[in-house]
Formats: sequence, C-alpha cells, structure tokens
Amino acid sequence: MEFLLPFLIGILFSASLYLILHRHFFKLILGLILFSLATNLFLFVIGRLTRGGSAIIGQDENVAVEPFADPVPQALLLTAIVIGFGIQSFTIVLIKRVYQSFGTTDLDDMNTTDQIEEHH
Amino acid sequence: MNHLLIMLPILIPLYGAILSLFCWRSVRVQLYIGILTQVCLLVASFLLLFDVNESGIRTTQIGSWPAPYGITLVADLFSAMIVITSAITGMAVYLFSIKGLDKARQTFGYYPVLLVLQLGVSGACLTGDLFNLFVWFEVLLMCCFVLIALGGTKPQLEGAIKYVTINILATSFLLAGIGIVYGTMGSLNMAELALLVRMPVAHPALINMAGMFFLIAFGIKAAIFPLFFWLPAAYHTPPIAISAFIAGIITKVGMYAFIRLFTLIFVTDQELTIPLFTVLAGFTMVIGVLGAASQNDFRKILSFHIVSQIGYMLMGLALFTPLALAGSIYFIIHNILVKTNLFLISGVVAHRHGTFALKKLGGLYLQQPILSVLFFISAFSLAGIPPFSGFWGKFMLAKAGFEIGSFTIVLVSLAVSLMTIFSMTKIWNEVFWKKKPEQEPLLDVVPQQKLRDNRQLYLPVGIMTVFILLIGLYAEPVVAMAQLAAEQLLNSKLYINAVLKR
Amino acid sequence: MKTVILATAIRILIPLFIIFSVYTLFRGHNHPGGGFIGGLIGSIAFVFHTMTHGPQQTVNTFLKLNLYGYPRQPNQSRSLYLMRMMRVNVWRRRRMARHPEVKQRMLRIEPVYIIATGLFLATTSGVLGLLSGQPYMHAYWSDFYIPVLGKPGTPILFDLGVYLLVIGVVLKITFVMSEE
Repeated sequence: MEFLLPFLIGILFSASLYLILHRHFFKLILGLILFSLATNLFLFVIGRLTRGGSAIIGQDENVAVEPFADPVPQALLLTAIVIGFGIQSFTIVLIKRVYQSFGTTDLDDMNTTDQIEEHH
Repeated sequence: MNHLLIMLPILIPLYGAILSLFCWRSVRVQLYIGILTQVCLLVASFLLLFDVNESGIRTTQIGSWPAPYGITLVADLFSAMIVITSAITGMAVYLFSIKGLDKARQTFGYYPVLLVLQLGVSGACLTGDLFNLFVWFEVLLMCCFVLIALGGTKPQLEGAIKYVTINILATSFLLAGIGIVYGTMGSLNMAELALLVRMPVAHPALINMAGMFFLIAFGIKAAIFPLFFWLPAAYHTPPIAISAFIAGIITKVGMYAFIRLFTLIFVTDQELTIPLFTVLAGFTMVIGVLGAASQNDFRKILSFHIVSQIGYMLMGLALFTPLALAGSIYFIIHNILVKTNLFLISGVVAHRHGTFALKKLGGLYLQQPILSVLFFISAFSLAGIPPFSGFWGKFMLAKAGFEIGSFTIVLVSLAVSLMTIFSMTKIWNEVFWKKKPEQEPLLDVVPQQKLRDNRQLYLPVGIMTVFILLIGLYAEPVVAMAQLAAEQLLNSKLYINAVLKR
Repeated sequence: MKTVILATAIRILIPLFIIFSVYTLFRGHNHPGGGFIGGLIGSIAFVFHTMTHGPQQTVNTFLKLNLYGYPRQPNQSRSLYLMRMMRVNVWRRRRMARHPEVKQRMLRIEPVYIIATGLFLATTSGVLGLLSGQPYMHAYWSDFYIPVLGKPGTPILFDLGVYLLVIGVVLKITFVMSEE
C-alpha cells in the first residue's frame, strides 16, 4: 500500500495540472480540487504511515501503546481539509457568478484586466 | 501582562469582527465598532512594540502547553513593527472607506471582513509555528478573496478568478513544504526547527527542497519575479478602499514570512539561495518598473510598482548582512505606508473625477493643491529622493551592497529608482500638471455633497503622510529599531532561547 | 426534492441527529468527537430539512420565533408588565395570538448571528485564562462530576462555540446555494 500511494499522488498531481491548464471553468475548479486533494494525500504520506493503534491513551495506561500513528499529520490534514472545503465552496460560488455575468465558460475570454487601456 | 500584550493585536480585531457580525443589519453601528476597534488595535500594537523594544523577544504558549508541543506566539521587533504598521494602515483605510466606499458594499459585510483580514495579518506576523503560519495566511487570503469579489462587478470577478486560482496553488505548495519539513524533522515549531537544522542532520537536501517549496509558495504570495503576473491583473479591480489595504499589506506579509523563514530555518544551503535571491531580486525590480512604465492607468502603474518594490525587500535578504536586512525591514515599513497612501490618493482623485485613466485627468494642481502636495511627498518618497523615507531604505541597501561588493545588484537597484521617478513624474505630469482635457461641461459639475465627502477623504491621506514624513525626516529611531530587529533575525539563538526557555 | 418517504423519515431523524450531535460534542473531551464533528452532524439535520421542504420552511420551523405583546398600560408597573409579557409568550400562546389587541413580532435568527455567537463563545473561553494572568486558552476545570457531561470546564465553552459556528456556516452555505 505505501508503495502505491506515491504513484497515486503523482497521478493526481499531473491530472490536476492538466485540468487546471484547461480553458474551461469547470475543469479549472475540478483541477483545483484535485490539486488540494493530492497535496493532502502527500502530507498524509510524508508524515509517515504507521499501521497500528491511535495515539489515544487508554484509561488504565500512562503512555500510548506502541505502535501508534503520529496524530500531528492527521490533525494538520483535518485542518487543511476544512480550510480547503471553505475555499472550494467560495470558488464554486465565484465561478457560478462569473458564468452568470460573463455568459461564457472559456477562460480565454477573461483577459481584459491585463490589457493596457487606451482611449475609450 | 506578557501574555495579554501579545494576544491583544489578535483578539481586538477578532472581537471587533464578532461584534460587527452581531450588528449585521446596521452599518452605522458597524462603523462605530470599527473605529473603536481600530483605535484599540493601534494602542495595543504600540504597547507591544514598546514592550518588545524594552525587554526583548516576548513569547506566549497557547493553552499553557510547553514550547515544542503547543502553539507558540512570538513577538520580536520585526513582527511588532509590521503589526503596528498594519494597524496604522488599517486605521487610514478604515477612515477612507466611510465616505470612499459605496453603501451597497458596506452593507454586505465590508467591516467585519476587513477586521478579520487585520486579524489574519497580526496572526501571521506573531505566530511561531509553521502550520499556524499556514492557517493565518488562509485566514487573510479568504478575506482577500471575499473583498476582491465584493460587489461582483465584471472586472472584479475576473480579477478574483485569477487571484483565487493562483493562491490556491500557492497554498498547496506551502502545505506540501510544511509536510516535507514535518516528515524530515518531526517538528513544526519554528524555534525547534531552527535548532534542528543547525545540527548535523541527515537530510540537508530534503530541507533545501522544502525551502524551495516555501520559496514558490511565498514567492507567489509576495509576487516575486516569475510568479507575479496575478498581481497587476487583480489588484486594480476592486474599489480603492479595498485594494489600498490589500495592495499595501498582503504582499509585504508574504515578504515578512519569507524573510523570517529564510533567516531562521532555511539557512543551510546559502551557496544556492543567496545567488538565487540576488537574481530574482534584480529581475523583480526591473520587470516591475518596466511594466509600470507601459501603463496608462493610475492604479495599474501603482500595482506594477508593488512588484518592483518587492525586489528591494528581497535584495536585502539576498545580501544577507545586518545592514541589508535592516534596510529591508525599514523598506517594508516605508513601502506599506507609501503604497497605501498612493492608492488612497488615486482613490481621492477618482472619487472627484470619476476615472483612473491618466489621459482623461488633468489640472488637479489648480483644483486641489493640497492633494497635489500630499501626492508629491508620497511619490518622491516612493522614488527615494532624500529626505523622504524611501531614501533611507535604499541608502541602507545600497551601502550594504557596496560593503560586500555586490555592485551589479546595487547598480540595478539605483537604475530602477530612476525609472521609478519616471513613472511618478508621468503621473504628476498627466494628473496634476497638464491642462484638463476638454470634455462636456456637464461632466465638470460636481455636486456639493460629493465635494464635501471628497474633502473628508483627505483625512486618512493626511494621517498617512504625517507618518511617512515622520519616518523619513526623523528616521533615526526607526532605523535604529530596524537594525536591532535585523540583529535579532540574524542571531537566531535569541529567538530559540526565548521560545524554548533555555 | 419533496418525497413522502424522505419527508416522513426526516421528522424522526432530525431529533436523532441533534441528540447524537450533542452527544458527540460532549464526548469530545476524552474520546474522539468534539465541536467540529458534532456541529457537522447537527447541521445534517438542517440540510436534510432544507432539501425536503426548502429553505423558507426551514427558517420558519427552526429559526423563527413569534413573540406576542401588547402596549404597556400607563399605570402598570414595569415589572408586572414584563411578567405578563413573559406569561403571554410562554403559555396560552394560541389563545393570545387571536386576541385583537395583541401584536405579533417576529424574531428571526439569521445564520450570521449563530456564527457570531459561536465565535464569541469560542474566543471568550480562551480569554478567561488570559484575565487571570495565564496564557490564552489556559483551561480551567471544575471539581464536580456530572453524569453525562463529565467534568465541566472552559474547553467545553470552546467546543460549544465551534459547534454553533459550524452549524451557522453550514446553514448559511445551504441557504445561499439553494436560493435558485
């Protein structure tokens, strides 16, 4: 399992980059969601996978029983997922608004803020 | 008292935001809560700066958990200086937004979001823990997203899409970097990490790799050379009351985190980082100033100048001497104030004349002489003309560069200063000096109420100008403080001992 | 998406969800659980209700309080008036509602207020430690033991704040997203 996860992360990263570079809004947001998923998985794997109990100390013990999983990456991951959830829901609403006011799903139509303004 | 002083710059905006949320229906009450919060925040951050200046680095442990395990908050001179500058800026922007922002946006939660943004800035400056840094950055970025999209006009939505996309990527990079740091060293407390990387560890290459992740993440957030394209595309789209604060503060907070991490933790491979930073600093300056020269819009010129000024701050880090870092710190303080003020001035101009396009403006020197003088001070301060504040920052950087013989970067920075003068004179000529272009006489009639509102907008600009003049003409204490802060940054033993209580 | 099966099931499930979420909230001190996950479970109830009956119905059912009242008589003392009003609103509500002189006032709880209350509770639980010279969020525990809740202490306030915050945020998101 641990051997396969890095490959999965790699596939997720490349798929998400492909989707982000796409011109369609919907694929952009899919790509962003996949990208943060891949990062979360990366964080999870690099924090060392330990198969074993949780790091909760039982009522009759003084220290947790070895082997126990490191709780810090899990805590980081949970926080990151929650933050990612908030940002993603904001992005989805934003993209919906953009679609409503521009009437397009093509990112190439959104290049006016970069242009140098001449006489109008 | 110690614990309270560090917490206050975080707690005050938080309570302000909560109270504003309770008064969601009434903008007037939110206004009063806002002014109270801003005054308290200013006082609290001044007290913090005073305390840190008197008695060295201050720390507190959230929930009384001891240092490497719990969440640490650290206030040293550098962070305290950024906190007080952001408090001053927040005050000015707040005063500006009372008359300078339309009522519709004010009712849709501008005040609570602005306060949470200030909370995020204070938190990012005061935290002593890598993961917390990430969380605070998310707090302030969420607020930036909301503020940039607030109102939902077409250019705003377009800018917001670009800003959000690139920042989600940056966030993911930051998270990946944090993961690598935790995976290799098993800690996220910045003081403990600083201790661990200075030991003969097994993986210097992995630490370096994590450093590069942080370089990309904060490079995007601070708009460093190859990663700055989102900034001029997004920063000029929202109304001035919003973009002044975001443009003034957010990139500099990115730069703050950058300097903090690359002086404290990622110092193991300076043969790589220092030449890299030098090249990046040079390109950031040059590209930014060239981009500004090609623009014909008040706000866009200023947006590109943000990129150019970021180069100077990075140059201080690239030279890596106490004087250079002090120059960087001074320059950050100066730049936050000046850049916000220039944005506010452009807002005053647009409020009166209804446009940011240089071609359509003109003749302001006759109509609004006081505003012209205020702009003159800020613009020349930005360009670095002595005796104004920009000069001292650039002088310290140039002197530090000459001392260690990096002539190229110093010459580039001086040339960029000349180009900055060019841009500022362009604005001066087009907006203030040339004759107003002919237009329909009906458009020239401004209602009395608007004129009165416009005069009220002078107040925040005036306050900011006073501070700019203060740190320029009476630079000695600020420079001395910046030098002390730089010494604290370079002498990481102080930081480690303060946090780990050894 | 109004189906009879879901609408009937939800009437039974909503109390279950809320009781279970409160259980999770208080369990969080010594076992897995806590304010965040409790709030999510609790908000599922409201999300389901919105899905079956629409956001307006959810607001009417859970987030609206009708208060009844009549103007104070000139010679009536304030405390007596207050007691009368409280009695009117607590019992005999139905009968009072039909009374011609009685005016109805609607008290609507916006999700924003729930969010603000949650944030306020969570922040204030930390300030208690700060006021006594300890670091922020220093925990204080009481000595007595309550059967279900365990030992109450300041972290319960924090969790309660997070619980309310999560419910408020999810409600807000649900209402915004289901508006069209």
